[in-house]
Amino acid sequence: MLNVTLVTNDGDGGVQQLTVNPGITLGTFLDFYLPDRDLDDFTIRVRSDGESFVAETDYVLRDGDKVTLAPQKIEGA
Amino acid sequence: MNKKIKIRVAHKFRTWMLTRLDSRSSYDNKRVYRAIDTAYDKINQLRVWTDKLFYGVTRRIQRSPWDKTNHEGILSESVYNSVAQEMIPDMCTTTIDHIKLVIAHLTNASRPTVVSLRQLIEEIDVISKRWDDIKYKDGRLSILVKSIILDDDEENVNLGNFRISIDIIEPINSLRIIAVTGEESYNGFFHPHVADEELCEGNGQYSLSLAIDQGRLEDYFDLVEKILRTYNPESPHTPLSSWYSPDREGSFYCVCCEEWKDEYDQVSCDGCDSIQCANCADGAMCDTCEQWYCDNCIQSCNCCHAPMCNECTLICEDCSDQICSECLSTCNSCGSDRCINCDTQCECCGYSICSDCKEMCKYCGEAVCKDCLCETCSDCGERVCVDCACECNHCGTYSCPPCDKKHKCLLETVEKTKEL
Repeated sequence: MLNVTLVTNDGDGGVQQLTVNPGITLGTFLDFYLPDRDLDDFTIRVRSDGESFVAETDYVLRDGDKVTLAPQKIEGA
Repeated sequence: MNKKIKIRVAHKFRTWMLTRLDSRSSYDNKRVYRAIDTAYDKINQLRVWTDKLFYGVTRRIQRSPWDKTNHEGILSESVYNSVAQEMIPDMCTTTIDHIKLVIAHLTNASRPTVVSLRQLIEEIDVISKRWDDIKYKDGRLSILVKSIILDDDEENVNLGNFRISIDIIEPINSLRIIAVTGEESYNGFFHPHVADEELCEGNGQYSLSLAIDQGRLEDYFDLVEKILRTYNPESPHTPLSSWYSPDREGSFYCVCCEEWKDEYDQVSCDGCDSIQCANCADGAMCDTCEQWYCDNCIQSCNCCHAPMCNECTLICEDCSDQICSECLSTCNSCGSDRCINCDTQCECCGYSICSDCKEMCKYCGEAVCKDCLCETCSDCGERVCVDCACECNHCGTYSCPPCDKKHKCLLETVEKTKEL
């Protein structure tokens, strides 16, 4: 099993420590844990082995990965 | 940035996180209460605007067909629709957001986070790879974001590069945004959402504070950059057009038509201070103070329908209608203020009297003031108004009309006897 951290930066600010099956893709992972989010509105970054990058939904998650969702646009006041 | 400095920055930030654990409880409480207060304020605003909408509907129905002069101060259908379809849903969304924040605060407060030194070093390491020119100086960690380009559906404006910095030793409220390159707007701003190096965080406020709380420095800088790269036309310090609209000397930005207009066309509402151009200005001059007020701040007198502002509005003590000073009448007997619709004139002396001071003469049926219903019939004892009172030419006493016919004055008899 893989340990994955999921961070949502859209107001709820949730940080979840999750355990997932090996071989799961980012798209499947997000569909399962955040089914109500429209992923087109978010930038999805993954931090893996000290590297941070914008990931596609077909990225295969690895143990210790941190997945961060942030809205594409955040309106200031 | 070399590894030694990264370790020093991580160490200082972790020291702050540990210190904060002690004061965390009271700090969280304040945040929860602030979110509750904001939700409460929004609900109150919702109530006020709902009342205004209902008031407008009733008045519009009462005064149909539509006639502008009869509808001063009442929300027009277009304003009604805009409030009902845009403003009210926005208010509801904001209220729900703040209630969500309360839940999120309470959920997160139960699991305080202190990240390890290794994790913080990794955060700084990732930041240094992701952004250019990371610096640590005087206790402040800063990054450079390049080419902030905003658009407002008319123009793309390149605002240049900005340096984002936070105080690592005391990060709360320490965010500074410094323009490095780029053109200033005509009124002295470098970014529509930055004033005096402070970012108006808007929708990102909670996510930012949580990112700092949880030691997610990369997320923090990422969120700040996203706010800088987003233009919110609803509430900028200055609109984006301040950068590209030519020759703005002697001109102003009209919030209604979203255009630059000559300053001589400027109309400012004395009530809410909104500035509009003469074409968009939908309001009226208060007849009493002669100041201009926008549609939302002007009302109309219930008697003469003259426009009037809140300050100049008077209330009739009888029917509670809003009236202007011209339609105010003061009762000559008790001194109370009434509108001219509730006012009565004494049929004898012509002075104004209120309904409380109004008396009815039993004989002529006219409304008279107390002063004019002054005579008492010497025969039956009834009170009679000065017009109906009949004075005996001989004895000088007053009688009511029925008693006057039967009045047999002794003095008259004596005089007649003398004459005979």
